[in-house]
Amino acid sequence: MAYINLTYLRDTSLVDPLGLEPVTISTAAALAVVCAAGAVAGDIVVLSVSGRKATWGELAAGAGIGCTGGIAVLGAYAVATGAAAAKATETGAQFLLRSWYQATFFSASGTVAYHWLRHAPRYGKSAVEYTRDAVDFFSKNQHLGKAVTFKDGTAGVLIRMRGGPGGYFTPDGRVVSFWYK
Amino acid sequence: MNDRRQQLRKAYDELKLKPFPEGSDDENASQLHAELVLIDTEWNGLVTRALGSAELGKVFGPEEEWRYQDLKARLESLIREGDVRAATDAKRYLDYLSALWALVVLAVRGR
Repeated sequence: MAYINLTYLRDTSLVDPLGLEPVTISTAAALAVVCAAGAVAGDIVVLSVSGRKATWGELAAGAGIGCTGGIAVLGAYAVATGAAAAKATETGAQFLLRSWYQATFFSASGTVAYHWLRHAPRYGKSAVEYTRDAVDFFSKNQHLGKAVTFKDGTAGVLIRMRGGPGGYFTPDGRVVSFWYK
Repeated sequence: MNDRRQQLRKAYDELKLKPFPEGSDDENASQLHAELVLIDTEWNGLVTRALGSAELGKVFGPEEEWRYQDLKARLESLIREGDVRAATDAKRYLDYLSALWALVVLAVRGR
């Protein structure tokens, strides 16, 4: 089933930072893991400094500091990766939405999904690749355009290569439809 | 009304999965292919509006039947009078146009 995600990532889970584990764990589990690891590391530091003379108080303090440090690192990682993912998703979606003309469709995302599904999968193109190809085609061939009027009364352009690619565009280059062959 | 809406939704989803027929090396057939693309875009767009509106078929005006008959007649003419390559391509476009028109009729019946 074709699916285009036009929303920000709102995942409350965290992916393995090194990408070595093909699993995503819940935030609560990630907190527990880093807290425990930090606590152990903190106590190792305490034991290496104080040796066998370390008190329960020192060990508890070391564990607490380690746990807090681990959570801080995890938080920084989550903010960094979350922001990057949101930015990447937004950029792709924004590109698609600003490149297509909604025409008679109920929604702008609907027009992108419809045309991509109709004309692109057999050529192995993603929605962004398909749209980029259409925009490039318009840029290179707009001098070949023939004026048309769409059903909603908007002026448009048809660019057609016999036996090759073609498309309908608004005069400013937004895509109405595009085909490879 | 809900049955009709579900029927239209199902027909729309089925048509959406059919690959759109490719263009033609024949100039006349290529021109008709481009016209079919535009009709396909506009009618399917209207179907999505119909599915999202309270009254199914009201987004389609009577001029759509004229567009259908006009393109159908020109495709049939090319099937009869064009060379083998043009006629074969025109036949594919006519088959697709018929499936598309069936979708519009389904929407209009919901008026």
